[in-house]
Amino acid sequence: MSIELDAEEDFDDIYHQFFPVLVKIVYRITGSISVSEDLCQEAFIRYYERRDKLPGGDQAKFWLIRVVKNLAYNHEKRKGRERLAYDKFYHEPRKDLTNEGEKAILEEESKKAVQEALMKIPYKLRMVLILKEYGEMDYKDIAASLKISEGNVKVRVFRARKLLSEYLEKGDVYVP
Amino acid sequence: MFMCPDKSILSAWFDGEVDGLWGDRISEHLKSCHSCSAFVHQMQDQQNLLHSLPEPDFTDSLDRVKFMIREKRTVSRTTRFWERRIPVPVAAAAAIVAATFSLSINVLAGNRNDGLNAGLASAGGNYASVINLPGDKVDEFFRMMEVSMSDEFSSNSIMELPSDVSLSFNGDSQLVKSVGYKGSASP
Repeated sequence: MSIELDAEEDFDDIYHQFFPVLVKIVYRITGSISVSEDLCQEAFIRYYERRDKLPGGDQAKFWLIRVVKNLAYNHEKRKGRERLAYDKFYHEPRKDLTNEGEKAILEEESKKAVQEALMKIPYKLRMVLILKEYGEMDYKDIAASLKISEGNVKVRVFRARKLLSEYLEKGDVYVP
Repeated sequence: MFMCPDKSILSAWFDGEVDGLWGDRISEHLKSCHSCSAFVHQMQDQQNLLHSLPEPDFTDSLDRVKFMIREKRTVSRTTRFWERRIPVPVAAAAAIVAATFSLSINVLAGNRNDGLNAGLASAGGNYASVINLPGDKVDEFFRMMEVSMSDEFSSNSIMELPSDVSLSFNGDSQLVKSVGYKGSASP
């Protein structure tokens, strides 16, 4: 019984340590709150089921990131068509806004536009940039979790930033 | 004079990934190069923008994850024994069942003759003997399975079960599918 309780506590530790980071990552990858929660829950359930065979610490984080990366990628493929329709909506010309209330709306729209700009970056580049910005990881950790070289991480981060700048400029995003 | 570094190097420097002498030289260069410092400021603005986005609240997620895990475990515990999946490849399981039947028939053919179906055996031509089990004697079938471990068995036998026998309560649908039913193709 105490072994089971210890295992529960270990799982809770892993959860509290990594879930907030993981969900931030997946949210930025998918752009959907409900999807990111579902995918992270699925990842943690898989971790729970295999916890006896899996390492702890940072290796657990890397394992979880690999799982959500694959889950998010599958989700991305499934939802490709829906996303294209969503993109079209956000690329419609916006009205000129003048007063404070309208500025607030513009700010809200711009936040959506930033997320949409992120979503337009090819998946492999987006994943690396998001791990860098939201995953609190350096190039070495990103390379370890995605099983690519550090040089590759450097190139992908740079390309993702470049594309994001281009998309943000085209989208005329309002930066408060 | 220190030339402008590649922008991918500046991007790595911005992330704190360029150390030592090379990092120091880039820092010095940025003080005097408007173009490179503008690029770094652009990256800083982009990063600020990314971090200004609101974060979703997932404070209740742990409870939901634990609930889902508990649900899975409860379902797993209450699953009846004969509904559990046996981790044996289907092909291997079918081969084992077929081999067991063949062996068991041969032994029975040597010990008893009352169940032999000579007509079918001669029609098939490939089997030394065929035995028919009455549908209400499933226990006898299992005894044969036990005896089949004996060295007296050969592989040239077939056993047929009547069409109305039910083995599904044993939980192994492959077992049912692997048996040839007399007079009917479907169980």
